[in-house]
Amino acid sequence: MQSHKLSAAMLTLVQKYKSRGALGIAAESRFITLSREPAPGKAPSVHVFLRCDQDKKITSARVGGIAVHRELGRVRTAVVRLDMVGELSEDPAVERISPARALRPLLDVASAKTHVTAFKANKDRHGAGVIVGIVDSGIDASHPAFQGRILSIWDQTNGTTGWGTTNYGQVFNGAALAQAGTDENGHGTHVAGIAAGADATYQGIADQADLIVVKTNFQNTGIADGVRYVFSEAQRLNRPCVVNLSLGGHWDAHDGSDDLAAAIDQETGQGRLVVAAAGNEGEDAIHGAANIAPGATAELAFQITPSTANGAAPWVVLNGWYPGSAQCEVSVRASTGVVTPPQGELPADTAAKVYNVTGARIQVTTPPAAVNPNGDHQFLVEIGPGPFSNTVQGGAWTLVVKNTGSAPCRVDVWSIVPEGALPAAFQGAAAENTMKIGSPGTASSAITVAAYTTRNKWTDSTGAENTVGLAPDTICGFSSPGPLRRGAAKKPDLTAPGAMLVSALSAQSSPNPRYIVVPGWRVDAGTSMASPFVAGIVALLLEAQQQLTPANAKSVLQGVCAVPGQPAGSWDSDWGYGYIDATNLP
Amino acid sequence: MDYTKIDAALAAALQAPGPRASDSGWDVSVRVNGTLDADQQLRLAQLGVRGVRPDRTVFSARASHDNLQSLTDLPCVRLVSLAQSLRPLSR
Repeated sequence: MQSHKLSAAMLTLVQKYKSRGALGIAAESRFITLSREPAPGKAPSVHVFLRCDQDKKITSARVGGIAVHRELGRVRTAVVRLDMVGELSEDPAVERISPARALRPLLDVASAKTHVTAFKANKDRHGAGVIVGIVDSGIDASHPAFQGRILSIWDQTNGTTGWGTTNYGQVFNGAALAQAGTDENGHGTHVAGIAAGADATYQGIADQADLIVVKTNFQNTGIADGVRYVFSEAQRLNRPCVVNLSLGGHWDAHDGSDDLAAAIDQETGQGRLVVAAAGNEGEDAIHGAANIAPGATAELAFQITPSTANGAAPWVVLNGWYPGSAQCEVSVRASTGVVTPPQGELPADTAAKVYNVTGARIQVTTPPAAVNPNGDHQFLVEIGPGPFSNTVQGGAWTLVVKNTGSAPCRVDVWSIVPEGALPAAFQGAAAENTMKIGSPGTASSAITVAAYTTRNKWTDSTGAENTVGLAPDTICGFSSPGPLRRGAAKKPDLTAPGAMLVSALSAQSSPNPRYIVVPGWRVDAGTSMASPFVAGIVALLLEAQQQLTPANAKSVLQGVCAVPGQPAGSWDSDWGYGYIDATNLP
Repeated sequence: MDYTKIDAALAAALQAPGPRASDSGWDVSVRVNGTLDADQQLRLAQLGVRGVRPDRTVFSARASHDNLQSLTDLPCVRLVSLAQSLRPLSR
């Protein structure tokens, strides 16, 4: 035996078996993977990792009692009988032998850290009788995690029979669910698994709740209709319901006054709750702001990705807001140096002006404030490519805002690009790392969830170890900070595990293999993952209190939350009221 | 068309169609003033507004240009806003 090639744990295992047989390794069986049924008279086998000379084959790979799973490679896996470990260590290709560990599944790491696992066991709560609504990219109805618990699916993306007075999409239930239950994106399936998946290893939070799913068209109107659909069905079935919205954007005023937020607020109530993700723009300079003295001009510099680079945008929109009592003029300086004329508030029917400049089409819209529910001015700057390009001209651009009123005013602007494009990033003094939670996370009644890291490493299905640059037990850098504009409701409300969480993998999706943990299960990160974690907890609360209101739920959850390093009851713009400890939940 | 009742995005789309414009009508949200009576509910439904009920003030619709014009002419309608695309929030 080449003992120096055995890890300490492997050496201990071999020595204990040698001295006391199976009894000697009984304690280790909780942490390592032993074969359950050793052949009669034979030593048990243990699953191991092998570090090897990557170009050499193991000559003893198929000797009785040794089964190596890969011929070549730096890291290989094998199953080896405990009395054959010595022989394996003699192979010149083998550099190190260590026992495979029974990993605690990442979702359970999150559940254990937040004490949700213990809460569920102590209270015997699993979400029975509660409906969890998922408005998202769909769901893989064939996944074992959801068998028998999907009540219906409204696919908004296909068909014209719709639901109620809608005439788009099609509702599926019963035997037809298999037809509609697909999720090519995979996001909805992963989210649903966190909230309500049932599995012995990767158990979701409310693993006995039923599911109603909306495969949405991702229009904010479709999302509002989706929420209405789920609550309508829950009403018909006379059951409490929580809807998860792991989606968002920045087209709104960031103060909860937009129509999607208002639609959510008018639908929630007793036994009708919504949980929404805060957003993932914590590290993206999408928010620019300036406080402008009367008569002064602010220049908000922003950078657009060059049109020849990956992630170049076919359009960029600046969504700007300033108080209704103020007066401002807006102009844009392109990366070529060309500047559009200053444009103040215009009559509503002529509020949009187009400026075709060299290499760009710039549209500036400056309607009166009276049109907006919050009474504030909104202006839009839409930058499109020139006639000879498909993408916006890259480089250093500037939004120029002049305060033509008699009092100081603040302007807030959010940059928007299509999904997959790199953001247009505000630069220098213009960039403000606040107020990056957009609708529906801004809805007053919604429970808005930020993300923190509970795990930053995982082993994928090839045996490779993966790591992400997120420090455990810290707020995820990508988690969008609050507060809301104009001192509206405190958002985010709280924080939940958002990296790295294992959940159901949609069979219709094709993620990068490094994110697949085992067949049927993948890892992912985002406030998308944190939100359903809380939605599942809300379902557990609804199981015991079917008339729970959004205000009650927030009060209960805030009572068991804490911001690290701050006094009880503190709120801050990253953590909200902090991370959940479910120990004392009712 | 009462342009004082449409939001900036819809105004931009109507007055100066750009790269994101649509020729086949618009998905919009419709916000109304106060409680709708039966006639108002009927009229909104006829113009394609979905899920109209007296205890709600925000609805969705798919509207042609003509329907948009008619919607903005209704006294009960406060604001018509262009629908916008949101996105999933995973990394």
